Order: sequence, then C-alpha cells, then structure tokens
Amino acid sequence: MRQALLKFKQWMTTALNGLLILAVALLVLDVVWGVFTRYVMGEQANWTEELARFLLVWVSLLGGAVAFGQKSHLGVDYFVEKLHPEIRKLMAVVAHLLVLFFAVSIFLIGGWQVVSDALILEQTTPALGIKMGHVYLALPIAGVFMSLFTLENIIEVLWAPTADRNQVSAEGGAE
Amino acid sequence: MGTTALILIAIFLLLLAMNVPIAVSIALATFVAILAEGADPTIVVAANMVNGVNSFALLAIPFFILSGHLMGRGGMARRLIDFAATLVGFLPGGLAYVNTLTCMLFGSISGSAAAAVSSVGGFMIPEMNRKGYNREFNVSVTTTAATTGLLIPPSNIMIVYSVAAGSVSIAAMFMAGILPGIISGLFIMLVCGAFAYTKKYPREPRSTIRQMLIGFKRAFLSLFLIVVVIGGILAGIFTATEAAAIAVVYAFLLTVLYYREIKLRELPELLLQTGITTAVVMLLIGASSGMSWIMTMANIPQTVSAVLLGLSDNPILILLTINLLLLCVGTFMDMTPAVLIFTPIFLPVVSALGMHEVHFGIMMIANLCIGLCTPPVGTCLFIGCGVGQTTIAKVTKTMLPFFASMIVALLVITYVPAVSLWLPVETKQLKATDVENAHFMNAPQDTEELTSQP
Amino acid sequence: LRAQKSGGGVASQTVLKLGHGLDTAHPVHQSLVFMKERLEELSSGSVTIDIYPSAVLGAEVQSIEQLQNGSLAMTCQSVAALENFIPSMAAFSLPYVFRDSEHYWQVLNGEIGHELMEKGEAKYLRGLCYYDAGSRNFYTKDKPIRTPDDLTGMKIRVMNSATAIDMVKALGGSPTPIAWGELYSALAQGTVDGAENNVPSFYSNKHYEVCKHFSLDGHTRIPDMLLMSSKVWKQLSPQVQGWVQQVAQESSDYQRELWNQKTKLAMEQAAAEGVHIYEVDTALFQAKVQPMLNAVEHPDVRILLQQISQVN
Ligand code: NA
Ligand code: NA
Repeated sequence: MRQALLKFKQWMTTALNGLLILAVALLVLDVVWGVFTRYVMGEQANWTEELARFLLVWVSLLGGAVAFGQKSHLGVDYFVEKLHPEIRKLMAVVAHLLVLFFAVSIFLIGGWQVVSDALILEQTTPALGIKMGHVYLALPIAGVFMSLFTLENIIEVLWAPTADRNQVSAEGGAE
Repeated sequence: MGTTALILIAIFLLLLAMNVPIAVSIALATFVAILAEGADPTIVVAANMVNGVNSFALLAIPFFILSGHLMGRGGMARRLIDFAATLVGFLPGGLAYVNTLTCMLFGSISGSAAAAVSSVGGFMIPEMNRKGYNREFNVSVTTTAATTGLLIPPSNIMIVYSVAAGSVSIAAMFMAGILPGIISGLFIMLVCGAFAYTKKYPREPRSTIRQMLIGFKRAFLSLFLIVVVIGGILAGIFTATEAAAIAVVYAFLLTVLYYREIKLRELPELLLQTGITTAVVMLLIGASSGMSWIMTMANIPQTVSAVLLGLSDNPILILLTINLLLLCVGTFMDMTPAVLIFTPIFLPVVSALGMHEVHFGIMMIANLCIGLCTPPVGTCLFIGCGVGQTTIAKVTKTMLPFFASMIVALLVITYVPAVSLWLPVETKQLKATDVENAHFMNAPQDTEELTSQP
Repeated sequence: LRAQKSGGGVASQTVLKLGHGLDTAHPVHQSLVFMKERLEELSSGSVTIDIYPSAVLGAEVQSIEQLQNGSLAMTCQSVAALENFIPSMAAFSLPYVFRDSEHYWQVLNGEIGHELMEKGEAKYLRGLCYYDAGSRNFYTKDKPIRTPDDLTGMKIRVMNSATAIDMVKALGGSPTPIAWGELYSALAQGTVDGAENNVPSFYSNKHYEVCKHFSLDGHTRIPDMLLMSSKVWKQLSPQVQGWVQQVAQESSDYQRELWNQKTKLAMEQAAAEGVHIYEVDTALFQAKVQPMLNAVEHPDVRILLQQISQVN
C-alpha cells in the first residue's frame, strides 16, 4: 500500500517535472526569439510576449503543485516547533487539510468556474487568438495535482513516527 | 470596512502561526474576507491566481533565478572572489572585505541574495575559517553582505515591488538601487574593519597592478554580464525581462560552453529547480493579488493611511513608524510576501507625504533586507548558517553590529531621497520634474541633520 | 459589493463599485465623480458609487472579467479592450474610420452606438454611455511628420495591438510596442523617434519635454465606454436602473465638455513649452491605410465599418 502510494506520487512528480523543465526552457527560447526577431529580422513577432505570459502562468501553477508535493512552499514553522510533538502532528494534519480545502475550493471549483465562464463567453487572446478558457485550464489541472499531493502528505504525516519533524525548506524566495 | 479587515488579518495570522504555507494563508484569509463582503470568493481568488502572475515583467524572475543557478555552479563566483582579493585582500582582515566586495559584485550579476550566500559563502566561509577568522563572524559578513545584491541591480524583489506598486518602472528601480547598495556594502565593510582591528585578523599579500589586471581579465567575462544587463536596459535595447533572458543565454554560453564547468546533462535539474522556485514566488504573488483586491474593496489602505497620517504630520516620524513596522514584519515574514502585502498599504501613505514611489520601494527593500538576516525567519540567515555549519543562536550576537550598520544605511536611504533618486534622474529613467514634485525632497535641510543620528 | 446593502445604522444603501485604470486628474475620472454625486442627489443618498481609480482593482481585461462574474459592478474602459470579448469593437482601432469629430459623435450617439452598447448583453456586459478619448496623433522628437513619407524609417511607439502595428507599418514607419510606463525614458534615450496619442495624454505625461513636433493627423478615434455588469444590473429596481441610465448620460455630456476644454488647454500649454503643432493633409495618410480597411476579414467588423461610413 505504502509502496504503491509512493510509486504513484513518484510517477506524478516525474510527469510534472518533465512538463516544468520543458516549459522553463520554452520560456527562455520564446523571449530570446522575441529579441532576435526584433533586432535581426527588424520586426518582433507579436505572439512572443503573450505566449511567454501564458507559459509563466502554467509554470507557476503546475510548479506550485510540485512544490506542495515537495513541501517547499514558504511557511512559518517558528511557533509549531515549540509545541508538544503530539500536538505538532495534529497541527500538521490540520494545516494539510487547510491546503486541501484551498486546492479544492479555489483551484478545482473556482478554477473550473473561471474556465467555463471564459469558454461560454468566448473570450479570446489578442495575439495568439486562442481561447482564454484554455489558458485558465492550468487552474483545475494544477488543482488535481495539488489535491493528490496534499492527500499524500496527510497520509505521510499520519504514518510517520511522532518525532519526525516536518521539514520546511528555507530556499526559494524572490530574493 | 472594520469587520472585513479584522477577519482578513485575524485569519491570516492564525494560519501563519499554524505553519500553513504563506500563499495558502493569504488565499484562505482572502477567501473568508470576500465571503464576508458578500461576493463569490472561489472565482475571485481563482481568477487572481492567474491574473496576478500573467505579467511580462514578472517573467524576469525565473530568468534571473536560472542565470543565478548557472553562475553559482559555473565558477563565476570563484573568479569574482579572485578578482576582489587582488583589490582589497591586503587590508587587515582582508578576506572579510573580499567577501563583502564579492557579494556586491555577485549581486550585480544576480537577482537573488540566496544565490549569493550559497555561491560566495560556499567558497569564502571555509576559506576564512581556515585562515583563523571567527566562524560566526564569517557567516555574519556573508549573510548581510549578500543582501546588498537585492539593492544592486538586477534584483528580483524590485520586479515584485514594481508590479505590486502598479507598474513602477523597473529600469528606474534598478538605477535607484545602485547607490543604496554600495552604501550598505560600505557600512558592512566598516563593521568588518572594526572586527579586524580588535580581533587582529590577518591580511593577504598585497597584489601588484599586474595581478589585479590578471584577476580582472579572468573575471571580465563574468563582470561583462553587468554591461549586458544594465547597459542593455539603460540604452533601451531591451526590457528588464528580455535582459534577464539574455543573461540566461550569456551565463549558459559562458559556464556550459566556454568555462565548461556545468555539463549539459545537469541542465534539466537546473531548469526544474528554477521552475519550482519560480512557482513558489508566483503562487505568493497570485494569492497576494487576490488579497490586495479585497483590501482595496474594503478600503483598508485608506484606513491605515488615515490612521498613520493622523498620528503626526511630520513625515520624518511617519517614515520612522513605517520603518519600525516593516522591521517587525521582516523578522517573521519573508521578503516577497512582505513586499506584496505592505506595498498597497503603505504606498498611499508615503505618496501623501510626497515621497516618490521609487524611493519608497528602495527604502522598503533596504528595510526588509535586514529581516532576511534576523531570526526567527530569515532566508539568508538559514542558508548562511547551513553553509557555515553553525547555528542561528550562536551567530545572532555577532550579527548585532552588522544589524546596526544596516539600520544606519536604512536611515540614510530613508531620509536622503537623492541617494535613491539622483541616478535614475541622471540616466533619464525618471523625469526630473516628477522628483521635484515629490515635496518630500524640498526639505533637505531637515534631512541633513537626521542622517547623522544612529 | 455588487449592489450590496451595507448595514450599520443608516437605512440600507446600495453601493455600486466602479473600478477603472485612469488617474484622478483625468477628465473621465472627474466625470465619474460627477456621476456619483448626481446619483446620490437623484436617489436622496440611497444609491451611491464607490470609485476605484488607477487600476487598483485590476487592469482592463481583469476588470471586464470581474463585471462578467459580478464581483465588480461597473468599469470604464477603452472599447479597444473590449475587442476580445465583443469582436466587432475592433472596428474602432482601425485608422480613419470616422471623417471627423462630428461624424464620430453622430455614430456614437446614434443607432449604431446604441446597438454596440447592447451588443455585450449576451456576455454580461451592459454599455451605459461613451466618453470622449479624442483622436490619436503622431508626435516626434527630431523631425516633424507632415506627410506619410516623413514616417519612413521612423521608430514609432505603438500599443501592443496588431492593428496599431499594421497601421504604422502601412504608413511606412517602424512600429515598436513599448509599455506606456516605459515610454518617457524610451523617448528620452532615443529608443524610439516618436509615439502617438491624444493631446491631453501627450501633455499630462510630459512627453512634450522630449517631443517638440506634434502632427494633428487624427488617425484613430477610440472612445471609452462605461460598462455595467448585467448580473448587478438585474438586481437593481427599475427605478434605480432609470437613475443609473440617466446619470450615465449626464456624465457623458459633462465629460465631452471637459475633454474639449482639456484638449484646448493642453494644446496651448504644449505650444507654450515650445512644441510645434502641425495641421496635416489627412487624405494622404488615409490613402496609405485604405488597404487595411479593405482587408478586414471579420464579418461583424466589416458590417460595422459599412454602417459607420453610411452615417452622415
Ligand atoms: Na542584484
Ligand atoms: Na527575519
């Protein structure tokens, strides 16, 4: 059971990681292509800027899901560290449940509403002319991964021996 | 407005204390506050998650993160250290100056302080330990000096600020940060000097002009990135985002193809790390975008503004209050969320005082730089202690004089607008008339006195 | 929010939230304030509008989306921003669609203008009135533009829209999309040789400090539209709907007057700052861009262009 779960998580992570690597590489190429066309070919393709923004949205939301899987989102562990291990474990479960609520209510439900609104109202993007609803699809898709990763995190906390510390990575701020 | 604001703040703080990720705390507090205002929170928060990050300016962040990774692993830090050593190594406690100067140089090609602590500290701290410098002192120097890289362009946090403040020119912010960054670095060197004098730290052999030139030649290709990025932006050849993308290409060519210190098969890992680090920042920005929407709807910035302006009509006191509040915020909160949350709240206040938005941005960043080095939550401090193999508790005492120097630098930056605004005006990134209209500028005689106070 | 009843002491009051992207000195903002005051007067204080300027609630597209989902009651946006929601609005971004200011207002205040305001209803967007945004004109640093030939090889800053880019290209210039906020330094550093906008924006953004040549070629006239969320509108009583419609029209008339004054004043002030203002033969420019109008493919836009040209 535990093995199967870990395997499933690993599989999801690998798939998402692959997507992320591809998207970040594409981002660089896209923006560089924009500069190149402007200076070397004399005229900038007007889709490069829009594509870059949409790629950033997808990197942010899918990468955000991966970060939940790796527990690398920034948090303040100062206070919970001072609690009794049993209570700390309980708090960790509650915190993960709150993240689950966040993923389901905002990313899945809210995201799906945003997608369907944009599709029904036929909103299109200026340069690429694609449906804005398809750009917004990043929300519910990221929501699915976030929910699964968070569920896995909850199970992990429940299975872990009490002394195990919930590690929070210090890396990863804009600074 | 009262209840919505209270709900927002109370839930946010409660969730933070429970170690719920900050982005989630912000989003959920916003969720409940919107519910209290009678609107549909799911759709508003979700839409902001996308719209908050759907910005070309923000794209510079992943690019500067990626180029930072490339430069850190690709041997650029070491070349900068060697060059800095030829310049300032001969002074008593020479390696401390080398460390500070390298952090500043590294900061001028990288957008992140975390990158500087790990890249520069990774070389400098063990080296200084070996030469008999005090371990906690070494960690303190690296940690605080690394933050100057956030004031010296390029700087990711300046991009976050300019987006949070409503499209403040990134080029102007970059220019504005240069002098404050140098001043902060010099103040840190002063503290190093005091330590070196009392602890009788060793000096390195004096370099000949020839050695300096060789050092410069070896570091030249790394330093040339400054010319590419800053020169390119200033000359209007490309935007900050494009400059960042070019920096990635440049760092790639240099470290992978020319220096050959990074292997091609290491690239996917670097891209992945960049993607995840970016996502962590962007999720914060998306969540904060929703929070600033409900704060605006509930008139919270106006209320805070009225309270602060009601306290006193003396701009010096109000700015002191804001700085004290931000210092408290900085002890507990990371820089990015702090900038995202407090910019919309404090910017109307200082605008009413006639402070320029670029000047305020620099002040806020200089202030929160201190927070990056303070316990309990300080990204640079965590990394510095990790690299230096010591603990936060041990370092804190040695840190105190460094904090003092950063606070003095902050006061200079706060009360002498020209430190921030002179360069952007000279380089035509800001209109001279804009800056003159900021009447905060028109009382230089008052500010002269204040800067001499600690 | 959304026509919410705010409790707390006073008899329940309907508050409409309005967000827009202009600064508080802009004639549109001042007219919105006028509208708010008139609405309070008419309703004896039972209905009011909270105005959020400077895009604090979101940029143009976000504001429109917020109207659609009902989280914002009203917004005022350039009709160019509506293109991606209501395709026929693209007609306004095309050059020389209107013969002159009179023709322009004939169209907006006539049947066509009225139909366009209703066109968004299916997308939960209800148009209330138009505001004048003047005509857009070229201004340059070193060399005046008197004929389209003068544009040859000149780098002109345009909005990042395919139509604007095509137009400058058709006129022989080299279009360069730059963010509005970065434009002043782009002009000062010579990244671009000129830009195009209406007279008040040229003046209030101090571009006259750098650009001393202003050509009154009037290539486009793109109005702003006051929009209301249909979802919020439906929650209002017929009486309140009537008041809102009335004050919107009043604010439109007020704004047109204010805009004219502001344009005249800005022109005088720019001249006093040493800006040369040129009357040009617009027919020369029009001839160059005519192929663009002929090449329009979208059927809705074609029909609208046809209808506009038939208005006297
Ligand atoms: Na930097
Ligand atoms: Na701190």
